[in-house]
Amino acid sequence: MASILVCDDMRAICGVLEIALRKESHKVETVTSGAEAKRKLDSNIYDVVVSDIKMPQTDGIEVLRHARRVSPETAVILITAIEDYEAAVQAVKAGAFDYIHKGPHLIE
Amino acid sequence: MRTEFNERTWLAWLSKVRIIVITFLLAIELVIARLTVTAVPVRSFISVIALWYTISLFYVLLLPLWRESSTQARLQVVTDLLFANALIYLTGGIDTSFNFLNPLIIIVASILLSRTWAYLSALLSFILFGGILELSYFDLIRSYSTARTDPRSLQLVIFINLFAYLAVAYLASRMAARLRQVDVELKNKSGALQNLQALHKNVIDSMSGGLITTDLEGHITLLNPAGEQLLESSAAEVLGEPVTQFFVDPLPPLGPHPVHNEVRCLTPSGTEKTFGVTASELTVPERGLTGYVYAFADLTEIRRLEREVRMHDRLAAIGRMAGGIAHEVRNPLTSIAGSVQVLASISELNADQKALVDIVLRESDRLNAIITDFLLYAREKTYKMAVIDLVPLLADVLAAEERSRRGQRVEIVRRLESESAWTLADRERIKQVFAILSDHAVRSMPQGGRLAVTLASAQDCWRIRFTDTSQGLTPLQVEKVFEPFQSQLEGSTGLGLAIVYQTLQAHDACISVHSSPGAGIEFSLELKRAEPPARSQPDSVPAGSANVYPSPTPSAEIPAGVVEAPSGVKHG
Repeated sequence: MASILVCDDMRAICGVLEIALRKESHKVETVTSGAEAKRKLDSNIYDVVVSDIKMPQTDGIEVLRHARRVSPETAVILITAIEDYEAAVQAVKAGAFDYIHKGPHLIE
Repeated sequence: MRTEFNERTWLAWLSKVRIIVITFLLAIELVIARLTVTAVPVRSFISVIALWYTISLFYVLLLPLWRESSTQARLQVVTDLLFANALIYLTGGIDTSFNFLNPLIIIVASILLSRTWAYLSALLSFILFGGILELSYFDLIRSYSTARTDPRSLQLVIFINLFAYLAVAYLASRMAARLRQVDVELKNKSGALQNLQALHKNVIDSMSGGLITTDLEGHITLLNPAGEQLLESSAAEVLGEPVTQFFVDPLPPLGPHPVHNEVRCLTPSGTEKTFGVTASELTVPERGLTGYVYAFADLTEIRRLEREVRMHDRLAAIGRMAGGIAHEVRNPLTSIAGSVQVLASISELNADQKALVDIVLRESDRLNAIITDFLLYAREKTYKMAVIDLVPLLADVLAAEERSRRGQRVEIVRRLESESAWTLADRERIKQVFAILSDHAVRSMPQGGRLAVTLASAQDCWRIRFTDTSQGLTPLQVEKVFEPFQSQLEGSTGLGLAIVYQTLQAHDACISVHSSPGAGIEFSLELKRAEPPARSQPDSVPAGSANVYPSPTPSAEIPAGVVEAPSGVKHG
C-alpha cells in the first residue's frame, strides 16, 4: 500500500485515478491545481505523486521540482494529453520517475 | 591639338577654294579681254595665273606631308598677297578690278593666323599695293594703266586702301577670335555632354533594376541590361515593340507623378514573374514630354517568400489549435475510458455488458488514434535530415507489418533492385510513410492478398512502389486519396495518406497513385538519390545490418497487370 497524491485540473481524471488506485488499496488524495499540490507536499509525505503537466498557473514541472526539493524520496509520475518530446525530456531531466500519455489506456 | 586640327581643316579648304578663285579670275579676265579693249598683257597674266595655280597645287600636296600647318598658313598668305598684287599690277594698278583680292586675303589671314598676322598681312598688302601704284605712277616700272590720275588722288586712293585693309584686318581678326572662342566653348560643352551621356549610360547599364523608356505611343526606345535579364529578351529584339506586350496586368497609369504598381509578366520561357513597376513621364526641358520611363524590379521571390510565411503562420495557427483540441478531447476521453475500465473491473460482467465495454474502449482507441494523427498532420514539424539507407528501413517496416495480426493474411513480396539506396531524409518520418503505405495496402485487402514492394533506381532518384491486389479505387477516390478524411478503410483515421503526402512534399519527393476498380492500388514514390556517406553515421544503419531484416528475394515476382492500372491520377 502506498500513499499517492493525484494532481490534475480535470476533476474527472482525478476521480477516475482516485477510484482506480484506491481499488488497488492505495491511500489516495486528489487536488486540482499545482499550487494545492505544493501545499500538500509541504505538509504530508507521499510515496508517489501523479501530476498532469499542463495546468494553469503552477504546472506539473513546477510540482515535480517542488517535490524533488521538499521530498526527494517521492516518485513523481507526469501525465500529459499531448505528445511533446521536449516536455518529456524536460520532465525526465527534472527527475520525473515516469512520463505517461493520457488516453484510453491510462488506467491499464 | 584642337586649334591645329582647325587650322588644317581651314588650310585644306583654302587650298581648294584658292584654285577655284584663280580659275574664276582667269575666266573673268579672259572674258574682259575679249569684250573690251584693255592694256592687260594677257601672256604675263596667264603666266602669273599658271604659276599661282602650280604653287596652289603644290600647297595641296604639301598639306598632308608637312605637319607644321601654321608656317604653311603664313607662307600661303604671303604668296597669295604676292600673286594677288602681281595680278593687280598686270590689270592696271589703280584701274584694276582685282583690288578685292587683298581684303579677301587679309580676312583669310585673320581666320588662319593671329591678330598680329592679320595686321602684318594688311601692312604687306598696303606696301605692295602702294608700291605698285607709286612705282607705276612715277614710271619706275611699266604701267598698264589706261588713265592718268593726279598725285593727290593717287595718295588718297593708297591711304583709303590702307585704312580699308586695317579695318578689314581689325574686324576679321575680332570675328575670327570670337569664332574661335565660341568653337572652344562649344567643344567644351559637347565634351561635357558626352561625359554626361557616358555617365548616364554607365548608371543605366549598372542598375540592378530594369529600366524601359518608351516614346509617347508606348514603343520601347531603351531597355537596360538588367531589364533584358528580367524580361529574358534582348534590347535589340524589343526596340520599337509596344511595352504592354510583356505584361499580363495593366501598367501603372501615366501622369505627372510617378505611380507604383505590381504587375505580372510572362517571359518568353513561360515563367510568370511579379514586377514592381514605377511609371513616370520623361520630360526634357524646352521639349516637354518626350516619352515615359518604367523602372521595374523582380518581386517574384519576395512574394513567394511572403506567401510561404503566411502559409507557415496559418499552419502554425492550425497546429496550435490542433494541440488545444487534442488536450480538450483527450482528457474527457481518458476519463470515460478509465471510468469504464474501472467499472468493468469492479464486478463480473455478462457477455453483453462485456461487449458494450469493449465498444466503449475500442471507439475511445479510435478517437485517440484520430487525435494522434491529427496532431501529427497539423502540428508544426521539424525534420531531422540525414543521409539514410532506404533498404533496411523498408525491410524493417515490412517485417513489422508481417508480424502484425492483419499482416498475416497478406503475402508480402519484396523486389529490391539495389543493396542500398541512399537519400537525404528524416529517417523516422520516411519510416512512418512506409508504414502508412504498407498498412494501407494490408487494410485494403481484408480478405487477404498480395502486397508487392519494389525499389528501383530511376534517373536521379529512387522509385519505391507499393502495389496491392485490393478492390482498387474509383477515379473520384483516386482524385481525393491524399486529402484528409477521405479514406473508407475500416479502422483508418483518414489522415494516414495526407500525412504521407505532406511528409513527401517536405522532402521534395513526389508520390503518385494508380488505380481503378478491381485492379488494385499502386503507390509510387520517388526520393532523390544522395551520395552514400563516407563512413557510417550514427543516423545511418551500419552496412551489413540489412541482414538483420528479412533479405530481399530477387526471384520474387510481382503479379503482372496490377502495376499497370488502366487509369489513374498523378499527384505530387
